[in-house]
Amino acid sequence: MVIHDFFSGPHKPKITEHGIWSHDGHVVMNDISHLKLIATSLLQTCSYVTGQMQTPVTIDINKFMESFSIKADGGDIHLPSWTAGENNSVTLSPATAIISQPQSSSHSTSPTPFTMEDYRRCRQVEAINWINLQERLSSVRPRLQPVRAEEYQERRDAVNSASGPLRRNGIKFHFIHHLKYNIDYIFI
Amino acid sequence: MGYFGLIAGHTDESDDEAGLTCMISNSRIPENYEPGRFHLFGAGMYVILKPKTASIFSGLVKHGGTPPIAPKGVTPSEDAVRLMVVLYCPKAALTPDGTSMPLASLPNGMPLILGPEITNP
Repeated sequence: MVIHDFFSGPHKPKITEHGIWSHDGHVVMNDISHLKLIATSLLQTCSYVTGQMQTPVTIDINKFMESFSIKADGGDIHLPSWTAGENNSVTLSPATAIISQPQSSSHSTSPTPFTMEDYRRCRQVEAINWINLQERLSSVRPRLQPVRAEEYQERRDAVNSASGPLRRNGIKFHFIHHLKYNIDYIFI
Repeated sequence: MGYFGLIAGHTDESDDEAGLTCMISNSRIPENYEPGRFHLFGAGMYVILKPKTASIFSGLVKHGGTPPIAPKGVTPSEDAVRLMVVLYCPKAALTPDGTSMPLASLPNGMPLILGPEITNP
């Protein structure tokens, strides 16, 4: 009876009627690109959840990504490793996915650790580059309501800010009381 | 994207400023039909929308098109079809601080949305 409360058997997931990348992504991308998208999204989700812990948690991105694979004719396809390149860009090595033989226990040498901090830095640089591109292209495309230069600067400031949209350091969570109540309830 | 198919022209205000739209004509229209034209008002130019024509432009500038027209006195063929494939650049997917992505399905049938708070580490 108690076991039934915790595990009621496998269920086929009920798929929402909304378009979702996990279920529908294969329509517009090949298998390995789809896996990259889903694995990266799971990484971001894991980082978001562990970021709410009081104890700082480090995620080794390459170990995380390495654990995903899909079946192929020649063996299993794994995702490439991430390395911080020059100017905080991300280099994928090898550039394409890795195929390993089924009997092989390890598909590559241990990659250099790449943490969420590295990832955040690269994403910030990417975001600034994108905003600069937006501003450059806006300057040569006539629009009825052009975006002001100050607004682009505000976007850059938000990216570089300690509590901006690309930084979570300023986030406070307010569910301690609720969590404590639940923990008390569990142990009663 | 935004409103589309208006002859009077429109802008795609939901497109990203750093992106471009690619519009491919994949229509099936008899040779002697006027295939329609796609106008970019700011540039003062138009593209004749023959099948397999691709137009690359910014959706943020005013644009619009005219429909295919059968020759005078000819009843339009029932299998004459206009099909335009539009690959556009939504701001919601490309702006660094505004991305929201429906990742998967939750057990209650609702989508699990990854908002910018999650996707930006």
